[in-house]
Amino acid sequence: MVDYLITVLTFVFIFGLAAMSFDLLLGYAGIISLAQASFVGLGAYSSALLTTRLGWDFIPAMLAGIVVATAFGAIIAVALLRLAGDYMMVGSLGFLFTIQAMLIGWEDVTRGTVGVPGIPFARIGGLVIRSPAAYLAMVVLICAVFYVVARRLVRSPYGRNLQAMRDDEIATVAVGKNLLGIKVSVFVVAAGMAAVSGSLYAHFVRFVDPYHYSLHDTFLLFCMVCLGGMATLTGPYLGALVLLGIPEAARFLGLPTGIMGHIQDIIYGTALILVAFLRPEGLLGKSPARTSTGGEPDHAR
Amino acid sequence: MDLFLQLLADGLVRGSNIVLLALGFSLALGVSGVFHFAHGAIYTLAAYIVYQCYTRMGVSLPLSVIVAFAVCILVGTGVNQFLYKPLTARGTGRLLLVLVSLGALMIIQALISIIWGTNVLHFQPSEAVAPSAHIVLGPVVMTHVRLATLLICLGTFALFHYYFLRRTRYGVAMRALISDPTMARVVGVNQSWIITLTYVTASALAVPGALLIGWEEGFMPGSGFSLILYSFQAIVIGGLGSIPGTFAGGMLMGIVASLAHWKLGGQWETAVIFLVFLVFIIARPTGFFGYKVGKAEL
Repeated sequence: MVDYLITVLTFVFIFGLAAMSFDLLLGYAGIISLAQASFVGLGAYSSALLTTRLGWDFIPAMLAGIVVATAFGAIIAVALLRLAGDYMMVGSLGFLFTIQAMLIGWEDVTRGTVGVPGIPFARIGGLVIRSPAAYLAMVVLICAVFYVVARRLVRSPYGRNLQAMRDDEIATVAVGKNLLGIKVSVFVVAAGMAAVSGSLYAHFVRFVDPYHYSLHDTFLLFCMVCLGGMATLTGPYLGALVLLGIPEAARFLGLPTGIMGHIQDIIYGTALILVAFLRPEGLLGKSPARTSTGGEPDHAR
Repeated sequence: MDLFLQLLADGLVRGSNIVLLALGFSLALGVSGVFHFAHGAIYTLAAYIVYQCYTRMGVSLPLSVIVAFAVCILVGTGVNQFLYKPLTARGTGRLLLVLVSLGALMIIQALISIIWGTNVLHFQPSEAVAPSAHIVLGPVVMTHVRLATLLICLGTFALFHYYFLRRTRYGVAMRALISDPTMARVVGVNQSWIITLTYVTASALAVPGALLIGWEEGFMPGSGFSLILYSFQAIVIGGLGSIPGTFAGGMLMGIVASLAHWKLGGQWETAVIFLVFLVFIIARPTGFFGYKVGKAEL
């Protein structure tokens, strides 16, 4: 039972980290991207391939994952972020599907649909982290570090620029801020954090397959951010706890295992719709929903 | 050359499948400004309703198709009525609307999976299918279903664009809302009612495409989901809010997909289409026929 709880908690923190990185984009910068799961995937695959094929250590492989994800993030950000919201969203969707197709199709490197099994336990120097409890401790530590980093980031002048841009792009340009620079940099930072989450996932499950980095998974992260509260840093973790916790609890209801995944989707979708109606700012969100900033008064009735 | 013509024909058929889904997306996006992701699930639902009525319960085919139209229209308008409309009315942000739409997609798709399972299904048991009937047009060989797909897509597009949107009162009102919602309201267009009708029309447009692709390849809960990306890319390439643009964009996607499949293999198709998409939106951010400016205001 304790092992089970440790496993669930580890997942909560791993997903919480990915959701928090997503929140930097969605909540703080107001950029609607659907590609976040790809960066988690790039991190996971970099770690998986470098440790299994080249025998790298945990930390260097994770750093390499960050480099890969931020490189992709930078390229895609420069290409897409010059476009307006809707175009950007469709573009990020294209990127998401392309990365997944690459993970499946580039068999020589990624092993295609088979996935990468046999990822070793996390090894730092001579220390091999075998026990789940120790792994959880490390995950919590890493999450704490990134939490502090993110907190400093959003409270710095740069963070205020982000939120200013989210609330009013034109005013932000008018006071002399480089909008494209801000957007690209936050996109890259978020991609890097997501990659860390992917690495942690790869070493915990010790198996990665290309099917976990689709629109479906972006949607899950989306739900975590919205439920917990956009533009809060603890919110995504709470969202992860609730959204991973409910299906785990539902497991004890004794439903046929074949439909559990679908029940889970229904729970997520319903939770999201309830949040949208009852508490659009999310559980921990403080400010009222940013309604006046939609930018499209034409469609508001 | 013969091979090229054949690939071109295949591309046009794939394009037709994309266009038949994208028309509904495009209309909903243009008129109500919502990225109606749930449309992908409604599209899939059409195939399952016909399967349930025709294959399982032995209802005649025309009647089954009518039932499918009815159910899709009901679900489509329901999603608008109970989700988009109240949320838009209370000023919900764009992000949350996109999410709710995705949520509706996930819920409908999960329900389909629970009711009918996740396997690929066919309208007829495979042993009953005649050795695929086809016709030969010069160098191009096409099965009847594929030819029908192409013709029905052309017919639907022509009817929709040249008749419905131009010659009927509701179509004209929809175009008015696409090009200038404020002005349309000023001249007395009932926006709420026209948006409801838009979802009726969009959902109905999903049915033929779903049945044709279901007939040719079979269908599964994710059938519509997997076409969403190409449809959205088609809409953006064509220009947001432009129906002819969506048509041209969809056909282009289909042809590019077909050629990429031949030259590089199926796994690179998505990547090639994505590159074409990127080149297009960077070179021409308003799309072929778009009149809404797509460049960020920098």
